[in-house]
Amino acid sequence: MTTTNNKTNIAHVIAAAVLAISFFLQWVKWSATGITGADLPSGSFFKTADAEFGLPNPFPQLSFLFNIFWLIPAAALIAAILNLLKKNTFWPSIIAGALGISVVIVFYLFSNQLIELGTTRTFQPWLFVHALAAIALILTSGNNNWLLKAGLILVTVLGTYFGFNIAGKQAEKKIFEKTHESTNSVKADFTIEASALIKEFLTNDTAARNKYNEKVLEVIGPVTEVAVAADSTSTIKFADSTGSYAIFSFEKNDMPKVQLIKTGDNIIVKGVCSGSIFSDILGTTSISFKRSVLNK
Amino acid sequence: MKKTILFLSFVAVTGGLFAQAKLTTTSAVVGFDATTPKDALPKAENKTVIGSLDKTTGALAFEAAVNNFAFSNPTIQDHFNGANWMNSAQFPKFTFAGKIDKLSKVKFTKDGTYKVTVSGLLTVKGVAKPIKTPATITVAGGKVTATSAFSFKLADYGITGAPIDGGKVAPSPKVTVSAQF
Repeated sequence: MTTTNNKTNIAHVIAAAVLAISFFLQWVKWSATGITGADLPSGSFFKTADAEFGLPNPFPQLSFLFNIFWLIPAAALIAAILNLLKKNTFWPSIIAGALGISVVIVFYLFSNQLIELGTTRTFQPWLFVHALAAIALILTSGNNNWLLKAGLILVTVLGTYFGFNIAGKQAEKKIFEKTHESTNSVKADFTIEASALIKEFLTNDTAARNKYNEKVLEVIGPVTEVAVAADSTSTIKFADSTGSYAIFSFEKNDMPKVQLIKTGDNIIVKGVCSGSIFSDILGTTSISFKRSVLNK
Repeated sequence: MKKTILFLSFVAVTGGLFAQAKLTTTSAVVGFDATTPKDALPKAENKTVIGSLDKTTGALAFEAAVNNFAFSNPTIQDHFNGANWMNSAQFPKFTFAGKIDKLSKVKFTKDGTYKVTVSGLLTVKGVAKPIKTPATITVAGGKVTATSAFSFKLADYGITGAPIDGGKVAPSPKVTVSAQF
């Protein structure tokens, strides 16, 4: 491998520039949200996937590894400068090109997985431009060993494809084997009197939903109804004077404890708030809780 | 004056009779099962479903908060409530409003198990479609229990997507209803 080139390769410089610039442009739209190549190392990629589709980074402890993709624009820039200086650009070109190909494949495969969640994905031209620029950068690098260059591209494509699938299987297993943490062991986000909670929902339902939905609440108050169903599941209700109420559902194994509760007892119940609905049947507001446990 | 008192008494008495005729519950249990051989996770229960049964007209109604269906897996629960599936933020409840066909078959004053047919409108994600399903009304010691099991096509309610096409979510989930009034 030589250390100098005789002339500047304009195609190489253009490939490096296009690779670096396209990294910061939109590659794909998930529903209406545009994602750029740089969003993967910056963290926006998984933040968006989590916020919009409930698909967080399954391995957050390894997210620092994505910083390696910042080498794409950096190495491309170095390759362009070295080429203009008539120096050998083989290694920076290989690094930028291989990482560029890898990240394009990751975007492509991950975005296709989002379809399974019922969403849409639309690939943007810059994704394909970036892939072509990455291949062009490798092929136009100083070394004339075409077999080596083609081999590197092939290894990158296959390595990323199989690596993504192996990691994807592990991620899927991790995500879908997860169960809700027992409410018993979760610290309450809010502790509130039942009457105050009902009043908050009646005053401003949207604000209350935004504040409490999917949060763990400890609710205190006098019980107005205890119901045990035929299948041994049970509910405890706190109603106000208007008939609006907060209702907590319990699992079968809580039945013996729930049965001991009587109307009028002052108790503390912890549960995950599901928000409220206005019941046309009852003409009142119902605030429901799931995965509830009795505190006292 | 006497007429007024008489009239008010009549209203109070008939009102009381009507109130007794309409039974309600806030703890009916509705199960949702969209599991497939490929995926056992899309399955949940809601134990705080509101229901009413009018013994004189046979009118039957249910309201279930979509967000109170409890799944074992947090991700599946998120997806179920998400904008692409049930969109519980915009459509917070499933409803059913219908009636018991041939109500005369049910003797609410006599203990027994009565097989009936229920028909009405099932509203999911803001779309109302007619359904007809067998149900069982049980009268025991003055308590009335209604149970039913049926399935509905997600596509009828505009719910489609790759998980259904890929066999991970049943295209026609099974629904079970158990209400003790």
